[in-house]
Amino acid sequence: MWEKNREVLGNRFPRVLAALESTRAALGAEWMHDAPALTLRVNGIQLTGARDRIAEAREQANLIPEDSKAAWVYGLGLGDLARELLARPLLEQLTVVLFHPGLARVVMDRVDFGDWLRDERVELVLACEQSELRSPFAALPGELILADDESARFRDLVQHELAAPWVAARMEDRRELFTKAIQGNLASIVRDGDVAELFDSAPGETIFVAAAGPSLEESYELLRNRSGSLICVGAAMRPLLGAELRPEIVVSIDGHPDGMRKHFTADLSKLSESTLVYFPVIPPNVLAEWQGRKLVAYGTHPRWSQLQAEVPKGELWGAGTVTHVAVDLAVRMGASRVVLLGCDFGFPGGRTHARGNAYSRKSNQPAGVGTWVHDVHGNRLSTLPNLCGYLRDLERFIALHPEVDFVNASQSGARIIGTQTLEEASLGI
Amino acid sequence: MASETRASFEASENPLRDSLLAAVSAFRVGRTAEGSTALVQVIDFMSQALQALQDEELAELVLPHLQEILAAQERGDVLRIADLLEFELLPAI
Repeated sequence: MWEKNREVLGNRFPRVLAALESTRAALGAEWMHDAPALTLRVNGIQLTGARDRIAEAREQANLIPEDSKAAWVYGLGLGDLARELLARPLLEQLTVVLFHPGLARVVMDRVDFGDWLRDERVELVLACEQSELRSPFAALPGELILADDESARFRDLVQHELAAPWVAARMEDRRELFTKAIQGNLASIVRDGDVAELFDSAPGETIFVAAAGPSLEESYELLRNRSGSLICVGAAMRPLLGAELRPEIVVSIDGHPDGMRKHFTADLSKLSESTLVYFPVIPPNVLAEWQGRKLVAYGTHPRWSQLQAEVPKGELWGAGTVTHVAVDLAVRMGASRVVLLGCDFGFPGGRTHARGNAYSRKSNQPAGVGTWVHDVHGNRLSTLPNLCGYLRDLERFIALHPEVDFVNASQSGARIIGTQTLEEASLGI
Repeated sequence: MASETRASFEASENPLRDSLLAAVSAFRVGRTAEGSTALVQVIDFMSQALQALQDEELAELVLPHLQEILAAQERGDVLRIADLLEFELLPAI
């Protein structure tokens, strides 16, 4: 069967053919011959459903409006979804993105794709060569999970987008809590200063941004010898204080009462000269106990609009994690170089946080199973889907700020595309 | 299973069926977070139903499927979860 498919690929998609011919067939792939619907299983992951592939393809195709003239399919699979969409007379262009050439090679050894690959509406491309998502799209979840290393970043973007409605619904669930938290902090919002006081306050400087990932511990010596301000997220405050390091700015945006109490149970008198930058959803007791300067910031999400209109304050960007907010603050302060510390977006050494953080523990994520990102050395690092999404959003943010040099100081956390290493930045430990 | 018990179980099974179908649908299109949330509901409803019914026959029928679903979830095999929910667990309930 490969020769037949090879001929079509050679005529229509020579780049894809070259990728398939220069790769080894995926290891661990086995056809499920006993299944009611033939499919492939790779290292315990089914490429498609094994009962009714056509019904599954229809379900996936439903994500694309019936009258769409163009559509994107994220995953080659066994061709069912592409065939399903090509049966639509209104469809004029279908781009199929494959995530694992070695897997595609195994599939094309057995399954004839000639019927739909010859269709002139079809474009077949490699995920590793894509930069941004296109819509409307539907995806093959099995192939996303099985994506090869080169396609991982684009896979994460697809999965992140697929999770977006769920995340938005959770945000909506919390609307009432948000409103209540704002009301509880109204006096502080009016009384405390504005984060905009810090904007452009450090033009051209190097600013260090510490998150609470396990690799933060690698950076204490670097931080002791730093020349530049240190901004940390609330969760990194206790580990830093434990290492006798005092951040100039602490950023906190989380309204969870127990979580925040644990992060801020520390000798805060040591930070009486430091500034707390906060979203006014954090627990009032945390605000009350902070001895230093306090500056209010809002997020960029539309839910802040009403408050912004009533009590204007500076805005900081964040897409779900305080690390984003801290990094945006450094950029808004005018830094020409931002050094990221403990921004691991995964579990290096099998740990969740730096020691000293109240939630620091062994990760219960088995190594090599489930969601992963590349670490700074190119190895797979276990993580969680939300952390993976935060990483990809940070990379997008970095790409939007070519005027700033970003340095990833971590020696064991996630590789952050768009950052330099300490060595490249001549910032040796 | 006594017919009264079956009737009472069926009368209250819509949330279970709804959650199960929601999980299947979400897993098949790659909305894994949504699928996992619905799956937690399925397991909660199943646990409640098994406790309420004290039906050993039903327990013997569904528990192996639930164990296999949890194993598939651990390795991230979302389409296997969808197959098990739709073609093994749904007919069993």
